[in-house]
Amino acid sequence: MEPGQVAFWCPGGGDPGGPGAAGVVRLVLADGVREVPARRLPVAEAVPVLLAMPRDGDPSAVFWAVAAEAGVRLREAGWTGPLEPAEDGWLRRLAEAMPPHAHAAPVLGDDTRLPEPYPLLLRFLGDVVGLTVRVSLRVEAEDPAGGRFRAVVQVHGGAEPLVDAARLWESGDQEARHEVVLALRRAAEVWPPLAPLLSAAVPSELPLGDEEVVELLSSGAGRLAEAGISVHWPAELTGLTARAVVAAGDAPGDVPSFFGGGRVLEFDWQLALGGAVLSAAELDELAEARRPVVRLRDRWVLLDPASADRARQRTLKPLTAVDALGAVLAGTTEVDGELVEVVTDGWLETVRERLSQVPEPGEQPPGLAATLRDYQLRGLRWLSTVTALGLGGCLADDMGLGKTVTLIALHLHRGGGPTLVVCPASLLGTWEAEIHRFAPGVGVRRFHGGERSLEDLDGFVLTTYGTLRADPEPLAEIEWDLLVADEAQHVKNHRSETAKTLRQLKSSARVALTGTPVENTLSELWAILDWTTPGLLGSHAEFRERWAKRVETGADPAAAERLSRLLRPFLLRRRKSDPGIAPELPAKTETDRPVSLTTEQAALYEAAVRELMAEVGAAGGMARRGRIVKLLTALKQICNHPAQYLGEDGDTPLSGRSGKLELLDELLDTILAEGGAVLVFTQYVVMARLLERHLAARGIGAQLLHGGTPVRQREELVRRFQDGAVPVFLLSLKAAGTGLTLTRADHVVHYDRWWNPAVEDQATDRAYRIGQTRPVQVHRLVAEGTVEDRIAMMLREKRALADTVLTGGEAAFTELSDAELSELVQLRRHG
Amino acid sequence: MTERVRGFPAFPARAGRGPFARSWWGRAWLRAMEDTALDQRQLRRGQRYAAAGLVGPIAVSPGRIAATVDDTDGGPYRTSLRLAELSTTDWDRLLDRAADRAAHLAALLDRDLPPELADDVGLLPGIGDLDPECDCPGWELPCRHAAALSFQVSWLLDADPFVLLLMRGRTEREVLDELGRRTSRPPEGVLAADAYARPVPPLPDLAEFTPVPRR
Repeated sequence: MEPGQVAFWCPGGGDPGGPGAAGVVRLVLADGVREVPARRLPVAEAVPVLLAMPRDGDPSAVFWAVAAEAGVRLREAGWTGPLEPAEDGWLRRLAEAMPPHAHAAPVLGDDTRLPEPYPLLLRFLGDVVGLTVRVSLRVEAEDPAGGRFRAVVQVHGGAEPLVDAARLWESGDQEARHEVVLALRRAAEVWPPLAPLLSAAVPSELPLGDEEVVELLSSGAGRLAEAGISVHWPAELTGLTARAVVAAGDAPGDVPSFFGGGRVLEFDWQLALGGAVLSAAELDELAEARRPVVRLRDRWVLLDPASADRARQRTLKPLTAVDALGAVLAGTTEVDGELVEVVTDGWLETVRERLSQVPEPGEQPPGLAATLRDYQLRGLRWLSTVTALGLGGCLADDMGLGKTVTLIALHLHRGGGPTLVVCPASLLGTWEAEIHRFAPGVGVRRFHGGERSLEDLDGFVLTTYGTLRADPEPLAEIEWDLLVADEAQHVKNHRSETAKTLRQLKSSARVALTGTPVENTLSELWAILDWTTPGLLGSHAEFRERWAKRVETGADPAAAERLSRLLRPFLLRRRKSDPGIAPELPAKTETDRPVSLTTEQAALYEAAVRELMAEVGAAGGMARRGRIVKLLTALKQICNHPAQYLGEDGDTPLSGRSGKLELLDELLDTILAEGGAVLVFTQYVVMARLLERHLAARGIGAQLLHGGTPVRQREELVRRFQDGAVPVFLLSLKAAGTGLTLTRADHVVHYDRWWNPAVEDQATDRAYRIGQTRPVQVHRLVAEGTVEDRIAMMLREKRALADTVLTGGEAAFTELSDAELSELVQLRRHG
Repeated sequence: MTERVRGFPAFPARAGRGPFARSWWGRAWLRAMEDTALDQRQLRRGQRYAAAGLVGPIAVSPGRIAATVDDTDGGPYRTSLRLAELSTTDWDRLLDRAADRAAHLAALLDRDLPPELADDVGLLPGIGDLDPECDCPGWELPCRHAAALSFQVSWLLDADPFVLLLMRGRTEREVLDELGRRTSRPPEGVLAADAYARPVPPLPDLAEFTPVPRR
């Protein structure tokens, strides 16, 4: 064992062979000094060779093999030098068991002596782990009153965990000494007063006067730290700390308008010694001090120039109410580029505590036609707390956890609005249906398309981002009680027209809802929270500078923790997989998702009804039946997508032409952002192909299975889906026969309706069956006002009748009279 | 034992006249050669040869630097520079001096040569100290081949002053060990006789060694 390398030799003599440079090694053996053929390898290359040694061979080889294994374990544990007592004890026992041949290379210049086992072992372990020697300075106060100090050089990571440099020069670790003098040479370049250290033969310690101590306290220690050399101050002289205090003053009468208004709060330095706050007189003494150590409360205390400045200039720039809240929530703020602890008291401390607590379950509001689950009650309590303070927040639970019902509960809790919900057009129907269902009797109206009345407001108004952008004035005139941005990731670009218009709306409280993991993209999160809680995170540029840069690079884990403390009160995100959430979820949730027809769809639909009803009326017998089937098929195709009905070829654009497709896009964005997997069923292979093309164009991985897919390929598709290779699986009904187990899916979308609920259930059960461990959400897309809507209603309201009518499939409709049929298919405008 | 000859791979050809020595000791080396030269044209040609990559791998050993140098009019020629090794007395002086200040050790490890170390014992060659030899037919001293070698040696010296110490008789390892011996007590170690006489207990069980994960 030599510094940095291992020499292999044969006790029997001769070249040991194997890898490494051939040479000789000078050894002291039982019968005297010998030069023996040897192979040398650097430690890093020797370790695998040692580990592969048989454990019943030569005792010296076995010893170093065991030592190498110990070194590998230390490396895996992230060892940096200091040893735990148990580790030290074991290694000492190992050193004790070192056979003479394992340390037979004599010490420098003395052929009668061999290296001591324990230091030799530790140096080998340091080489295995790749420990680097680090140097630090320990400042000692010889005579603080007289201004006499000294800096003692300490070494970490040599043959012993931590030694003074003087001691290192008494041992044989020459390599470590070289590291030390090189480190000190660099240190003297960044802080020249250290240069005299190297004037001595052994760089052990350096006397320091007041002037040097002041320099070291102000910038010297910082520069040395950047050069990798830390400075340790004597514990008996430290203890002076500084923090910033927000003076909360008297509790404001109206908290929401206080945070919204332009009020400022006083912000002052507070110095403390060992936790005890210093008085104004003591601060005066510090302010007048001329030395780096001062006498305070019967002891000598180091006074760094920054603290002395703070004792002189005790007030900081006043903070706006929201900035003050942000600072006390984060617990820190930055003053002149330095991170400073921030505290407050009085009512602001109460607010901080309230916001920092994990929300308790709230009470179920009267009038809610649903029983909220425990986590929803917590969400409600949280929303009511932040909105009551006029601050707003972002509820970012996974899809399927009931953000809509929680928000409806908040509306009821706050006393009934008016509440404006801004959402993507494809979600208007879902919102309206859920409000009717969970808050029966509460008014809902749309501000969209032809319906734009805002007279006699009561309850909910629903609008879309597009409508808001095109026609903002009427909405901007209302003083809303609650303003909700659903799928708030749509306003992540804070410079967009939509985002700007959204900011102009007046309301007592703002809530953003999103199902995508916004916390992953800090600038998106900033855009959302800067809308719900303006000012909290500062301007976008400030936010990037203060938080995003540090957190996104991962270089500053403490910054991530502070940001999390600041955000936690305003961002609530629960995942389906969170402990405690999953057991509350039903295994299967089915939701009808009403969507509007686009103008193109509505025109096609009405024309088809007109033409084909005339054909039906003119025919009788078998011909009549055939025409009824043709009518129903045409209408379903139009509801799906105009391109399907018109038989358009491969290149026509698909976006913006079908309400169902818009909603599917919306759902997929959220599902895929959650890392979910989804089955999309449609009766029509043509529609499935259109979806396949559309998703490919959007860069979403999807695969298609239909009746014509060969069996072997089916198995491959199922395997790929189950393995998570493809998140979207498009299936036609016929293909979803037997033998398909698709339990990876946690969402099922029925793009069009089967006329037979039993068949629909069977398709759904591909995902929801034995082996499924996650709750499954079923989304049934229904075109509003169409034959699909009418049948969905029949299924809901007269299930028994519907069963009898519908079990026969489409054939059952062929028995209807003209009037009954017309009633069924006629397009009804919303409202 | 440490090898007492260091080999350096040939420098590739470069544009122009090549770099001039940057370190003070590299410049001093060149000055010694220039001051000795009688024919400045040979020096200029030698400088071009050095830049053109005509010098082969260089071997540095105590008292001697050798290489083969190619030429258009024949060659390659075997060229060397001889330089007297320091006496043991001078080495002791130099090492005592170096060991006196940790800054000197630090400078050497940082590939820097403190002037006060070099000056005291005349580590660098002066006028007439460099003795060129070449088997080319030329009569000049130094010839262009020896000059070319000399230029390239100044580049080697720039990068590592231990090359100079080796020419003067000691390897880097020897110098550092000597300095170590001068500044520190040698490790005490254990008596070899005791190590061979002592009963060695069995190795402890590796299963009992489970280091605590560090943050």
